[in-house]
Amino acid sequence: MSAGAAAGPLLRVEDLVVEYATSKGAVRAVDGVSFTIDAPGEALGVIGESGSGKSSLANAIIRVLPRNARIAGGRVSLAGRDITALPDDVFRREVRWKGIAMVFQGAMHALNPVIRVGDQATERLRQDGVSRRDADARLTGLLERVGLPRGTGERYPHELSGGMKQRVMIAMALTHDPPLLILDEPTSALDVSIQAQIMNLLKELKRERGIAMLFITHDLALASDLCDRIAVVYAGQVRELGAAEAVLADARDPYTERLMASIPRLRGDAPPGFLAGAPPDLRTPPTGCRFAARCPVVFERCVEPPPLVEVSPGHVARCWRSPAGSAAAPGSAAAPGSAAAPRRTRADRAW
Amino acid sequence: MLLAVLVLLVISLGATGYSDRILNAVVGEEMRGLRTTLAQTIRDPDELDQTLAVRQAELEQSYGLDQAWYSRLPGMVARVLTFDLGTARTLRSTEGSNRIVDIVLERLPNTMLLLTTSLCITAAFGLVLGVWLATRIGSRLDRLVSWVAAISYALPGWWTGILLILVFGFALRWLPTGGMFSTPPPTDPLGRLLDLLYHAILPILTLVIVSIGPSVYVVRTMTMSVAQEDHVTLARAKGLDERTVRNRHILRVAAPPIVTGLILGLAGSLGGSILVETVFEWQGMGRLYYDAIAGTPDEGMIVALTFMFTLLYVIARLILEILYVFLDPRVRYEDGRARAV
Amino acid sequence: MRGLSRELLRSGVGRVGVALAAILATLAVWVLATYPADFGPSRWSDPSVWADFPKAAPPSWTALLGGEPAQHRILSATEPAGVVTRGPAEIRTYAMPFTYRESEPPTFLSFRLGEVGYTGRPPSYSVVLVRPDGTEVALYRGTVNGPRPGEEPPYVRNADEPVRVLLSAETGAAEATAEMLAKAYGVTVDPADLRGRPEAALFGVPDGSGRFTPLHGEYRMEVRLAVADTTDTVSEVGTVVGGAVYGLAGTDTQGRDLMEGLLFGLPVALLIGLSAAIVSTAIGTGLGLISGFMGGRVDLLIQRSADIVNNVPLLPLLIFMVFVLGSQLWLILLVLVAFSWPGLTILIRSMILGLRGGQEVEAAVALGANKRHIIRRHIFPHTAPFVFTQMIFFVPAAILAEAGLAFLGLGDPSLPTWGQILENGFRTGAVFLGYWWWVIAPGLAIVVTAVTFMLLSLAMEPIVNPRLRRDS
Repeated sequence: MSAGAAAGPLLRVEDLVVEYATSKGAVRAVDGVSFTIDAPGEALGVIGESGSGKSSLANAIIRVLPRNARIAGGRVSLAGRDITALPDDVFRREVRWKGIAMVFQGAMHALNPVIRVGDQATERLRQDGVSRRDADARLTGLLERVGLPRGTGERYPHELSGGMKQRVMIAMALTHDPPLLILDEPTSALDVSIQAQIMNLLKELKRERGIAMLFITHDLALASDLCDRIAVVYAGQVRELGAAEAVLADARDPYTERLMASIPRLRGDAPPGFLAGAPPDLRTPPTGCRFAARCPVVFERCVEPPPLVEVSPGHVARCWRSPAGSAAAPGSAAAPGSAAAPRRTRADRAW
Repeated sequence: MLLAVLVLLVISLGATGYSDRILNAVVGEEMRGLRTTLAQTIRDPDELDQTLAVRQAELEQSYGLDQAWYSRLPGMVARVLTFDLGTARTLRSTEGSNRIVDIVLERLPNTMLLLTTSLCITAAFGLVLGVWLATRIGSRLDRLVSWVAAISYALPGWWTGILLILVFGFALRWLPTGGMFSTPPPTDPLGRLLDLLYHAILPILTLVIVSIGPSVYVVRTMTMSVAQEDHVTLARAKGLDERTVRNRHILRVAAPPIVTGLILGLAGSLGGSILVETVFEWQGMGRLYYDAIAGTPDEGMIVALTFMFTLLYVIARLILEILYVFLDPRVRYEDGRARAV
Repeated sequence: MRGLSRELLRSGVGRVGVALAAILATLAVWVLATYPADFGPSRWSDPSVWADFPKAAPPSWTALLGGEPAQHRILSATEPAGVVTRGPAEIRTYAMPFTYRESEPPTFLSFRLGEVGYTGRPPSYSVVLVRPDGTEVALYRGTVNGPRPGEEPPYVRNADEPVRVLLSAETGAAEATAEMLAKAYGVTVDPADLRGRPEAALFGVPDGSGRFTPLHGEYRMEVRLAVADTTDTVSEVGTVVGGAVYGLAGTDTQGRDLMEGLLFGLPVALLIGLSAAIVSTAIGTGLGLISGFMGGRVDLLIQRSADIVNNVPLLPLLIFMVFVLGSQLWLILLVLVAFSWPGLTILIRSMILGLRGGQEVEAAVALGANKRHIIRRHIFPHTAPFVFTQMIFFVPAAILAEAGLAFLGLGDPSLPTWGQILENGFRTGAVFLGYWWWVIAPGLAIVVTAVTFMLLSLAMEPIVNPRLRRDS
């Protein structure tokens, strides 16, 4: 599938629900998440802390959920085609790696330790019938593009550094020229300088090849570097979604705002913000707003679960206060007066 | 490594004064025989004693008993390493040779038949069942297998053998109750072969029953452990079919510990073969061990057999090390020893 | 430890394991409390203890499976039921009643006379079987041994061991039986036919065709003892009505009650298994800790030794060592331990190395903890469950190894263990003679004990290997 000019978004996720069956009951790690990614070359960052459901989201899209998990609701469409309904073998042949490829976190264990990286990287090509020579040639080109020296393909994973392994993973993901790339914390295990190199590589690839990206991370700053749009997830729900500049400069959701505040600033004396408490236990999710227990601006309305509300074109947030302006605590700048009644807009429909 | 083990063995022989015992026993045996023979010709008791004393001194000198054990050591090591293992006291090979080497080598293939066949069957079952079970962790079948594995490990091989004899040999009379051939054995080669296999069924079955439980369990556990690794998820995400995922990414990665487990299981089988062969009167090295211990102990034979068993085990370990290098590229040879990179 | 017990009870495997272990432990304690410490030499290996027992008898519950084999009865009387005085002399009548209801006749009849003391003439006695139909058969007449030349009164006989007479083999008994049959039933039987197996006739009535139907009812074995002096003493008279089956586990060819041997073997097996496991684990863990912490040459030395010892097959070397050093229990244990420690050492060492470089220890060091504290609080909790599991896992291995040795005849001869019982059986040819109870029971005991520990070890596996938890 080539990334041609398609009518409509490249990836559309509608009300996706992912449920895990545990001995203590069913847990909805992803509870009604919706977003879109438009081609070409749009990068959506999904920010969330551990347990927010962001990895489950990625695994659900490419259908590599563990045995005790399943997609319990919602729909995923790729270039207008409903891929959640596809039978397994069709999905495997046509969508995986050809339509969507994935780069995992912790390349330490994501590579098969007993097979040479070159052989691993060309595995899918070979399974599709590409000759060894053609596959190797293609790989060589890709390895070069990601900045790896010649002969890397002959090595075993344990002979490569963390950064090199991550580059191999990226090259491997590009073998079929997929229109969409999902990256799940691709730089978490790397040190900062290598991290920067990888991020630069991703930016270049995005620019050159017009690959759309779903970039999953807990690091807001990292996402802001690469992504055009940002979605913030908490307790299995999207809390804010919009263009990167909009979300970063004008966070309308208290959780997002707290995330922003927790980033240390190079200038100024203000200490970084700190968010006490822990996310709710999703075995028994709270009935009202899921962030209410930790929210600095919680008020009586919050016992009712807030819907996603459009606060400006292309920018939605899930907070009763959000249409009124910035979700900063009362007393800080730019906090207008009354909380206007939330307008139910197209925010609840898929974007 | 092999050298170290052998040297250790030989030194421990000497250090326990054991070699003194063997040699003294050998000398004593000779002297007894000599006394009986001489007593028929020499009537005078004093003259008899004198002659015997002289002979005894000669013998002791030739065996080196007049020296301390550590000066005998190099000679012993050399003898052991060149397989000059001495002569047996009462046992003989089928050709009548009483050289221990001949006797042992004659029995070796019989033991090998049992061990290799049971190892292959156990490995095959273990791999197939273990892999199949790894996809069904937590199911009732899986739990059942855990039970079976526990029981299988706890079963003494020799007792199982006895039970099988009771059931299949006596109660049902389907299979022979022991020995390697029927009496009288068939004369044509094909008949002999079939007869041999017929007699081998129960011993092999015994060995398999005892080791199959742990084998399946180990494969299942290893496979399951590997199946949860990230690279397997990646392999699936790449759109590889399940068969490739299973063979290349699960089994291939689980191979080193599985092979290790199997070969180490062989070590257990070596010990088990001694007991199983005893129970089934299978004329292998294990039974030889029993024969050498029960009745009049044949020290020379026991030493030689211990050495042989250890040798076999060390060879198996060597094979394992070589295989491991091929299977796991993370281990490579560095200055003569395998090191994890 | 709490987590451990919780985990154990969580799975079915664990629950059964714990239940079995509790049963075994209780039984073992009971045996230790009730059996003499030198059970081996004083009871098990003493043939006189078992003289009255049936030889190679299947367990008594096999009677349920068909046929009604005779029950084995050992009777005795110490006080006479009746005394008739004639001047200085006395006739003491000892009565030993029993009820016979089986369809098979007893296998033998024997008579036993305990310690006798007399001053004048030796007592004489007759042994009479009184049948429910009123007839009596005088099976045996005897006199206590008279004074020897030069011996002074009072004379004591049978002090060390009672006199035993196999009534079934006595010609007198056969003749008396024939006489009874002729007089009471008018049936003529040649005593020569009866000799050796008079029981069918003694315990039956002739059916006319030369055979006997069982006579059920109350029997009484009477011993009429005539003493010359009323001060003469008789400690005990006894009789054995031989049965074909005996006890819960049958008897071996020496008549030993296998159940006793099996029960005694339980604490022995547990002792062997646990002590070998504990010592081996202690050494292995200790060396592993030292190796992991000290590093350098000590580490190298320990690792090399472990490597070498690991390279030897256990059983052949065990056999060899025991053969050389002797087959005493503590030596066997010593050798077992000497060859089992390396596995744990190597594993512990690599765990230590991993933990040492890990962040937990790094943090503790940064906080100023000293080495002992680190070992106690940061290393030990990680290794403890693993060590414990390995220890439990080693117990069955030790028990099996000892049983194997005993089976080959290398066990400690003064201590009856399950392996020894099996060895006795095997050497006596129990397998080929069909004495299945001799063979199955001890093996089953070994298996059950070993399985108990295996189950416990299995149940603890999820702690050690979290990936195996069911709901992950």
